[in-house]
Amino acid sequence: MRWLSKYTKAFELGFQTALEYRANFLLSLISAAYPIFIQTFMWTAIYQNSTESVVYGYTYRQMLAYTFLAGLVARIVRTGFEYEIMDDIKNGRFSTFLVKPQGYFPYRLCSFFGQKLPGLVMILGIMVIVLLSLTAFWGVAPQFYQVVAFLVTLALAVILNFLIFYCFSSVAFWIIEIGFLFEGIRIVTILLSGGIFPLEVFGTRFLQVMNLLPFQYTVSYPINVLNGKIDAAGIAQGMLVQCFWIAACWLLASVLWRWGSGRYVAVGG
Amino acid sequence: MYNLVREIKKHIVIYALFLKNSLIAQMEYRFNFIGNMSMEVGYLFVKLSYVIVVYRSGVSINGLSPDEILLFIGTFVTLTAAYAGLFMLNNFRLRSKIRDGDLDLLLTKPVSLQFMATLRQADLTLFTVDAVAGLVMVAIAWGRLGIPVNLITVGGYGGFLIISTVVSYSLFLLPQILSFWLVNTSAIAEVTDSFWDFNNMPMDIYNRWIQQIGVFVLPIFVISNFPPMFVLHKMPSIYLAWSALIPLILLLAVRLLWKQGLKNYSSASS
Repeated sequence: MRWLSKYTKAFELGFQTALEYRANFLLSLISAAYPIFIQTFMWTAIYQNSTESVVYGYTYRQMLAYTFLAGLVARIVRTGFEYEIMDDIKNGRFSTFLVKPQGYFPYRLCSFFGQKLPGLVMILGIMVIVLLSLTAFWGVAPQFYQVVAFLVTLALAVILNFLIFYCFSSVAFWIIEIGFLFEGIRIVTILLSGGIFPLEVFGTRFLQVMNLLPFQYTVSYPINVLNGKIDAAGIAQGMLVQCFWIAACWLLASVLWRWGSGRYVAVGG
Repeated sequence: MYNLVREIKKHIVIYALFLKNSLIAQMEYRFNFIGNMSMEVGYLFVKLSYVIVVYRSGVSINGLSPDEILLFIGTFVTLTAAYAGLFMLNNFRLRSKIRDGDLDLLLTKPVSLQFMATLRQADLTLFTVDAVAGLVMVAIAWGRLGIPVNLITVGGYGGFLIISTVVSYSLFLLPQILSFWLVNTSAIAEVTDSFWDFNNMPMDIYNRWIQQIGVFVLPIFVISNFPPMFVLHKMPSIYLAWSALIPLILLLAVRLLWKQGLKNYSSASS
């Protein structure tokens, strides 16, 4: 089991890093609260002025629940390791992984999970408060199977988003300074995953295109599992699609990284 | 009076040089330039998604039609060009300049220190992307609303854009000046920067209390609401008077706080 201990160490290191910058994390939560605040007022104004009680296929309560949950789920699945990978490749630290008996992919994965853990606990705590408030004030309580399915789909969503960004981060082999591009990709993927508005807002043609891509399975799908917009059969089917995309992204990442590693030039003393 | 005009002229010439230098520095790393542009286009997509939500819902929000809301969002994007392109970078770097003693060299220059420290860097990629997109949105909304193009509307709108730019410069610089007293203000910078997005939608979506706070206490709504309110004839006279006062009040507050902070500055160089 010695091979495992080095990865548990990577997990521990990631966990410690996350705790070290806990104030940063709390502040990022405050920043995440602003769009939720703005959208809550925006949707309230839209529903108040609309003659329909259902807008874009959502009732007012469902829309507000989506807005709150989207802000939190998008925060849970969010990565950030792509900048570290860029630095590793740019500054030659990637070389150390070529000579060590340690895989770069499992190291990044374990470190990512370690960094996620404290934030995940905190956000899930907030989510429980949101759900209890929805139950207390609106009488809307998700069923037990929906909560369990949500947690499973959320775990798959975290892995899927990790793999999507692991694929994107391989671009650092070709382009050295890519930080700004990562930020552009990050914000567009949040939009495409339904992390800002439900995807139904953008029309059926857009939804058809999104059905061919993995992004909606990182934010929109887990939320719709929890808020009851997807039935049990749909949940099972969605999980299978998530697994398919995880396998596809993992395969793509392997190809891209093998190809990119061939271009790697070690720099530094 | 002659001296004042000469000083202003000198600062304008220097500012043009700052812009030129920033452009040269950015063009040196061309992929950075493209990457930067793609990042801002990403943010622009998010702002446009609000326009899509409004148009596709087809409802008037608290008396504002979708075309009118487009005018507000277009104004917000245009002003983001000034904030993100001309001020934000300087605001973020001010604390390190103070902490590392980088103001020492600037103190010796025969130009205003505040001017040098808060306007020297510009990101013309962000500026261009947002300015072009914002003005296109404003032009579309302007045409669809049938607002006449004359000296009063265009001149008034332009005048309010200048007021809004001054307000954004001062309002977002104020918290950064606290760096003269506090060692690390990165937390303040993060939170205040996110505050900018409150202008993403017209202030009419908020209740009366939030609107009054956003106009008179923490005048964030002055920035992107006043220019379109003026051309849409939706501006109460009290707001008109406030728009004349608030840039002066904020500039004065920034100047006083800057001078006070500077007394607290200690050189860190050898």
